[in-house]
Amino acid sequence: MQKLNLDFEGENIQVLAEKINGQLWFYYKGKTFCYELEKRSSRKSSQKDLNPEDILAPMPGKILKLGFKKGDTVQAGDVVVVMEAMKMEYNLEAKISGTIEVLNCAVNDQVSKDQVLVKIKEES
Amino acid sequence: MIEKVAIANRGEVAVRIIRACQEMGLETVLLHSEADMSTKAYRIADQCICIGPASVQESYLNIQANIDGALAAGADAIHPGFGFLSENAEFARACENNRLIFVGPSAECIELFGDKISAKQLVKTAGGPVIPGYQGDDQSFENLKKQASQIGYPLMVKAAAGGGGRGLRVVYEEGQFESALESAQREGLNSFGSAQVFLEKYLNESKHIEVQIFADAKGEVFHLYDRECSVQRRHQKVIEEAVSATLDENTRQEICNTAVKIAKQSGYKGAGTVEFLYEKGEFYFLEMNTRLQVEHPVTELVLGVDLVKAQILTAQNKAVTWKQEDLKPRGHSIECRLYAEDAYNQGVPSTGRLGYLYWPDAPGRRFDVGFEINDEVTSYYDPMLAKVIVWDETRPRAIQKMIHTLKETVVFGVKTNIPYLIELLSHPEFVNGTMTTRFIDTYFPKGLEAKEFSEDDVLIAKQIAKKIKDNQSGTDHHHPSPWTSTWGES
Repeated sequence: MQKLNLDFEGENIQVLAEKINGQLWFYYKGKTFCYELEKRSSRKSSQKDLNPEDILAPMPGKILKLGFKKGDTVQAGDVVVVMEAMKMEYNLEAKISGTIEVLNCAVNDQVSKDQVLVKIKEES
Repeated sequence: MIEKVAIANRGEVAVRIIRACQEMGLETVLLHSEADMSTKAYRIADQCICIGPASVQESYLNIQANIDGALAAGADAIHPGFGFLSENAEFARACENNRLIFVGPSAECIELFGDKISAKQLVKTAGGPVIPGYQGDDQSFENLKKQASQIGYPLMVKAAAGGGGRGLRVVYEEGQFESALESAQREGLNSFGSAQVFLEKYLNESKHIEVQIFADAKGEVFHLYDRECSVQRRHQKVIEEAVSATLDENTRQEICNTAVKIAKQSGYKGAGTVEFLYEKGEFYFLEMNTRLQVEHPVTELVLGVDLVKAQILTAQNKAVTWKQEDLKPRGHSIECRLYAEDAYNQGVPSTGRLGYLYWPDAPGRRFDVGFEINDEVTSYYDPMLAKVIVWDETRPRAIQKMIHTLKETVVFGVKTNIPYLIELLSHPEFVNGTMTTRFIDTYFPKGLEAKEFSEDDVLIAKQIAKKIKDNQSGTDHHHPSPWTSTWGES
């Protein structure tokens, strides 16, 4: 951890900062931020946005429930997968409307972070 | 006689128990999983025994592994903390069978309150108020429907064997009853192997108010006043306080006395919490927790007591030195549960190495923490990082103190719910104390709406990134800082 003094638009700002695994963590004026530094991680996060047809596991965890089967039609916002991570339940929603082309998990499966669980084919 | 206490738990509560034992001159042994060797509890315990792999089924929930560990260490007693095996009657019995003192009530008491139907029956016998409902064996559709109209809508259909929100349906009007019943029965059968249901009036504007009770070794039962935990998300408490802001003195006396009666009726021993729902001037028994509660510190701060030491004394068969008439709440205390989660992304859990931690100490601020700098937050366990607890002379001052304390707290390496907590604490309904258990669903259904970064924040991030890079190349040849050697660019 480093203490830095910045000059920001004429104001002196004290920050605490540390780089951890390609992320810049910093704190100033009562708030903590996590800023993606490296290309690798920013590419990873933009990839998520580039593939709205994919539903990824946001966390390692267990699949509790699947709301649909392969071939089913879903609307954007439908809860397709319910998973449990760290004792809490999360609803994973379809980002686009379409049909379920790939269902890459089953109830009770352990899945890892960023694993593609579902692929949705956009309705044409 | 107790000389050594085994701690069958992890995280901040393990630290809390170890410190209390050590101050009482007792040795401690931490029964931990393989994943918890880089934690504060592991470092401060007198002895550590690994009882199994990271998975809770194979370690923290494994009765035999815990018993074996305690016996191998030569412990005389086991403190189960909360969660895990703390309300497991079979574990309490296994301790007894192996001549280990279980720090808690008897296995019979745990069983009695663990069963929703027998607990309600006992409360009725003790003259306590229960939520109106139907728990009978006649499960025919005609009878259930008749019972439902007698209770009145809205009501809840609950799978008798259910839990954790599963097998539970809220029915707002008669027309929805049949389909809700069918779906609760189906879920009960699929998830818990039983289609039996019971019906309960649904209280949708209630406050969660609970009473801390304590029955000491000589059979004296104390109440340690109330706590309010109405700020809940998915049935999980987020902010707790002592005492409740809006309870009038008559009602307070009444629920405290009721809680004592319930404890006496059951032959209780040790620390316990009687939970009530409070709506429109009426209160109803919800459940009794037969263990130490996560939020016990707020009670400790307004009363000046140590509940963990009282538990140990009771296990040693010694009376506590309190007098009921001397237990008078003073000032106000609030606890916030700090979770490792992304407040800006619907509370998705966050894991990683804690590169830096800063807990801003000051009078009236308490930090119950299980991690230290460089420890790892893993996805194996509950995402609670720490409990931040404050005390001040009045509730408004306690709220102010909590907001300041959270703003001064720094956690690098995992994201936290601090920004979310600050929003909750600042909401007018929390500030005036009238919030109900629907507070979060009503005002924060999607978590935080705010953006993580303002334009200025991004500019500052870029400036820091550049400065760090410059510093790094400049300091390389004399004394590199620790992070340079660890995170140095290739």
